[in-house]
Amino acid sequence: MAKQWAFYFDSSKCSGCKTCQIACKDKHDLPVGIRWRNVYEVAGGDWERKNGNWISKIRSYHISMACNHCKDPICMKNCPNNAIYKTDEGLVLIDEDKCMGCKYCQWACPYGALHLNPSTGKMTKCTMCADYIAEGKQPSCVTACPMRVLEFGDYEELKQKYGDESEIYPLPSANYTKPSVIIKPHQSYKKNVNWEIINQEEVHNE
Amino acid sequence: MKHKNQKPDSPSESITAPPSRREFLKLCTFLGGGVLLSGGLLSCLEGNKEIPVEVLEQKGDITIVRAGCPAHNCGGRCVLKLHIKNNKIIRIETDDRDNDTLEDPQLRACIRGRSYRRRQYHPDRLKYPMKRIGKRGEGKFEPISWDEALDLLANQIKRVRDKYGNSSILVPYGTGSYNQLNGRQTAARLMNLIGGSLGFYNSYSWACISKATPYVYGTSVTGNQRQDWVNSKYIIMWGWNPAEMRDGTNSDFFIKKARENGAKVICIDPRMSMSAVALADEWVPIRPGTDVSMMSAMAYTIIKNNLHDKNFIKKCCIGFDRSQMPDGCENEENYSDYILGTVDGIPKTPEWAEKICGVPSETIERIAIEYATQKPSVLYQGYGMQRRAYGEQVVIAGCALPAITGNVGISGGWAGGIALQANDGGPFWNVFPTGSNPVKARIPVFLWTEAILRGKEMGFEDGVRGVDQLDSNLKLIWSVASNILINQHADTNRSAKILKDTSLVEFIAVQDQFMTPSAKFADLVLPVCTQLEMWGLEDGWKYGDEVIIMPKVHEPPYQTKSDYQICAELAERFGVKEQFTQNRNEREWIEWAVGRYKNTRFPNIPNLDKLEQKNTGVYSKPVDKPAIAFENFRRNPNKYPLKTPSGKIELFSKTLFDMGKPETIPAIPKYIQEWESPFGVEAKKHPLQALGHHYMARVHSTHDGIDWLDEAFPQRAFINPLDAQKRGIQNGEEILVYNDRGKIRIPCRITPKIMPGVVNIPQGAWWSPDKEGVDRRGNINVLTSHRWTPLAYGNAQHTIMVEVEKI
Amino acid sequence: MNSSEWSLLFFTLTGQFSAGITLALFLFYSLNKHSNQIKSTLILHHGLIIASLSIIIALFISFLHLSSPLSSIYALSNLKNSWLSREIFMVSAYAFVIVLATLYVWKAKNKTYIKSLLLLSTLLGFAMVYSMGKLYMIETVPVWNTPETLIVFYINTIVLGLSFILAFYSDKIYEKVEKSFLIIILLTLILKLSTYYLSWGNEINDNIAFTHQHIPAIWNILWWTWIPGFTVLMAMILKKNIASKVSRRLYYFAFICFVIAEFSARFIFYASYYRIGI
Repeated sequence: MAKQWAFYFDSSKCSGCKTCQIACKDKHDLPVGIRWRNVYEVAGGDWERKNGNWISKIRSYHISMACNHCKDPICMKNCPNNAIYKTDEGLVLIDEDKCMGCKYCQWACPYGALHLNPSTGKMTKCTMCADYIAEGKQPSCVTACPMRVLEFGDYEELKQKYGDESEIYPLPSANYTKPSVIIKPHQSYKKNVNWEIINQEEVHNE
Repeated sequence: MKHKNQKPDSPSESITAPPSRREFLKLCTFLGGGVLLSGGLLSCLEGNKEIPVEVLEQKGDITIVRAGCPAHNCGGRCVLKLHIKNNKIIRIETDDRDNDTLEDPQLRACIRGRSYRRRQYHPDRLKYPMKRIGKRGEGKFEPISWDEALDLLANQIKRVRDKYGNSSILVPYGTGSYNQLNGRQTAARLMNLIGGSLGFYNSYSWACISKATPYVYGTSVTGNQRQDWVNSKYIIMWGWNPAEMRDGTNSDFFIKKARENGAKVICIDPRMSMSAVALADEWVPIRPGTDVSMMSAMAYTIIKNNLHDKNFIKKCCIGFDRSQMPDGCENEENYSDYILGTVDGIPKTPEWAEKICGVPSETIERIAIEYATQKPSVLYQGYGMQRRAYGEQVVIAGCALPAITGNVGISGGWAGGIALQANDGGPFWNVFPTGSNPVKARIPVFLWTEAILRGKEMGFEDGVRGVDQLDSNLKLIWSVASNILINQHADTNRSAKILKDTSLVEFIAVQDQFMTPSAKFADLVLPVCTQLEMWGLEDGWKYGDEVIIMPKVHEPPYQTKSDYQICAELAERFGVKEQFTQNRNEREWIEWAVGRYKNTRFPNIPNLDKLEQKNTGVYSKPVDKPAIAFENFRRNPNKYPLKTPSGKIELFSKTLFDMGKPETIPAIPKYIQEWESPFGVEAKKHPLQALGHHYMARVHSTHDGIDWLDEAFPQRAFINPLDAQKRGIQNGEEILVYNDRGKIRIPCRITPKIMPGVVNIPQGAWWSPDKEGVDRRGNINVLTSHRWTPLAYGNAQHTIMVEVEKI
Repeated sequence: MNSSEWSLLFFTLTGQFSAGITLALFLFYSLNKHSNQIKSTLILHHGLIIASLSIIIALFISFLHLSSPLSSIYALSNLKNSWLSREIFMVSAYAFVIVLATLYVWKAKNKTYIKSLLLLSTLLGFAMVYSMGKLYMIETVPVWNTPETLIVFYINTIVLGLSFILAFYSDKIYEKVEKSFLIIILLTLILKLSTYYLSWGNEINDNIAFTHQHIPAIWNILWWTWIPGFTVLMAMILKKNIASKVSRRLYYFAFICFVIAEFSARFIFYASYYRIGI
């Protein structure tokens, strides 16, 4: 089977510290306003009143997400200029020369992975630190994490180890694009909870 | 503040000029010529010996230098991998040593270290010495030369010293820099050579916990090495948030490992903190300031269910019951008396505690039983709950629970208290010698504003030690690496009023890297270089078994100098230069510091040259067999007695008893209602409790406004949806948070991850009052009080009642 | 709605307007067996100029939407998979043919192929509108991924194009053509009304993190401005013998109403964007 690089993210131990986000910003000199990796703070549940006390039925976890280098990337399909391509190791990359900044890819991507760089006028996204991978190293976010919750490897190998869950709120069904990401859900995670992203101003992607 | 609204320029376009190519070539020529400098030459040639180019790692035109992350007062000491090209740091990565094991884990930097380029090259860094024009506090300055500046400071120190005496001079508490040669210790050393300055004891971080722990254990070294946590079955993180503030690099990682090894983790905290999300199986929200009630109820449950370790108590403790009280105190209220209510008629049942702390009695009972039976168990005390009114009580109560359950001196247990690392006390933090202070007078660190107002009247009851009474009010403040004056000290508005009065403190000098709120109140501002622009060294933060070197990477830009160099030049004006410098330059001092570690904690540490050559940045000693505090004592309490009066763990302290203040300094740990609490009359006007937690985006007030950090964690007032709804407040809109001491107006963040009745404004944001005096950035100290705790004379800065309003 | 979406709004409205004019001209020509030479030539000449100008302006506006317009030379690279690529092709093809038709009508001596050219232009125009609609029907954007998107694009084309001709050339077209236009517009507007009440059964059972931005109420009110236009056209079709001056004014009024209504509808369309996932 052809190699497909993938991320594994252990949401059950992520503290939301955003070291992954900042490591990525530093490596790629991203200005304020562009975050290739975002950390979403998700919370659900309620506060209940019982015997004069407030009881917490609150659940919360974080999702750290960059680009999932999908196996069937909707951004690549839709780009009129063929500016997005997939390498033979599964990385989905942007050829900036061809990009005309129409943002059609950003409209489509259900993982919010595409970002317009206003100073160059080109779309940008996580490259999985392709240059590091070529040297046999790991992406910057992975080696940065103080809680060691990010892992990087071949999708099939990671799937063997960890399963193939990726549809944790707020992430969509994997059927749209077949993302190369595996997530271990937080122990408080379950479907059908009133989940909400509570740090929206920190993560919102235009 | 200008730099907070800075447009995002790319990091490669900075105004702070690194040394020109010509200067760098000059440096290399000197090296190539093999010119050695005698240590006494601390002129502009200073630093030429610094980077022997041949030993550094090269990757094409990029030089890799591994250095310690600049030591501010975060909770970590980590390794940065700096990529340097054309004399500029273009990339920052972290520890990349091959091994990342429990015994010797990588020291991975957090966002504060990873974003350091944004601080290092920040256009707002101070560049020149400046003298005040306009009124004090206005923040208006004009540049002057170094000669003029240092002459001014020296003359002022001499004048005040001659007129009022050395004890009228204060070099305030400051933890802004800790790399040996940047930091207040350099100024302290100088002052100690020229007659001294007003001493102080305690800290803003740990006043109560450092004071109270020895009353129970006779020492502050009560913590096992952290690798031992994996042996625990049950860990209570009580008001402890290592995933955010760090508390020793990797503490959160070790708790994660413990959990992987089967430990159950409980977080007891008014907020569902980052640590609660990442590490806990259960979050127990608790009303701030009521922890002792829950701890007492836990003790009640444990005793009533016969789950206490009777053998251990008999062998190793005193004060638990009548049978083991100190002489003369047999009839006094002992620990069990209080818990069971035999003397005051109030059994500290879970139902009693529930009304106070808001935790359901079933939960208190269950956690008590779990803690006592799922052994060995850890009860880790965070520092927030002791930075409050009567904070001493929660410390002692938090030590009593491990004692009565026999969790002391065993692997997987935890004795509690301040928990400096066994067996040798852990990291030194600072080895740069300050010498001894000729001034014997010491005040509690938090009472410096009192010393300004009425120093001459302060005596023993005000915490003065070393002398009976201070002989002067404070007249001169020389603040180095500190943002205490305005920002971190309590009651900002009151502090500002005191400092503005030039007849009180006659001269204020502030030595810093940025125009902080404290710097705005200076009469003289001295610009300091960053820790990447000088030689330095750091070891662990509270915990850890490593030494991290910090090679000089840049020349100090513009006219900045290191704290050490400023003090050395000042020393010259007092004729003590040689005593101050010992004829060592900066690098030689670091060599000397490495030698100190060699003679104490790390006999095998290579010398500085070798460390630099290896370029791993860090020398670490793997911890295969974690030291256990009180192991010997537990085995044989008679052979290895504690340094307490009884030689044992004191659940009842005769020393405290003899102080004769049972209402505020009881001999046994008691719940005492705070002087500003939801249960007092003050709650009618100000019904909400306010917290100021240690935010991920800052280290206290360091890093405030750094753009990447502000983007990741904007300064907000966090409020529960129920409290917001009651006031018609929408998410993101500006709200007013206020009490009688001041007003804050900032955008809010509605979050369910905080208890109803509690609001949180992360501490450290720089005071930014508008025309009406309302702070617009969210400096929590606008709301805090100068009132101090009874025993430790500590800051009760988390005891705050406020009201919140929609604007 | 940020600036790049405003330019898309004007682009689609203007482009569809152009296609609508083309349709009107074709209908006018086809329904006019016994044409008065002078009159018909005027409408054709003017109408084709307007259609050409509109599509050229539309093309220009579409460039404003791009952050790197110079790279648009690659925009036809993905006809295989991308509806945006196909749409760009269709817009270009339509523009080419309509400009050709314009030049033909203005310059050619023997205008034998006029009808074929008009038919071709109309078909290309319709294909262009189809591709415009399809490109918005992205799998991960549920609010746009319904047949309603295509329907409202066609409604816009027909209503604006035909009512424009009525507004400015009502005295130059024959009664038969006028009546046909009126009937077509009225039927299309009834279809528009039904879209308001129809739900397309797009129950999304998937995770959605960010709902669409708040749409100020004024736009929802202005969406209904087509009602007065509809009323006017009803009156025109029912009442006989209305003075030419009055009818012209009424047709102007109707056209203005439709412009406002379609503009609002398009604004609401763009502002209601949200995405599955994050």
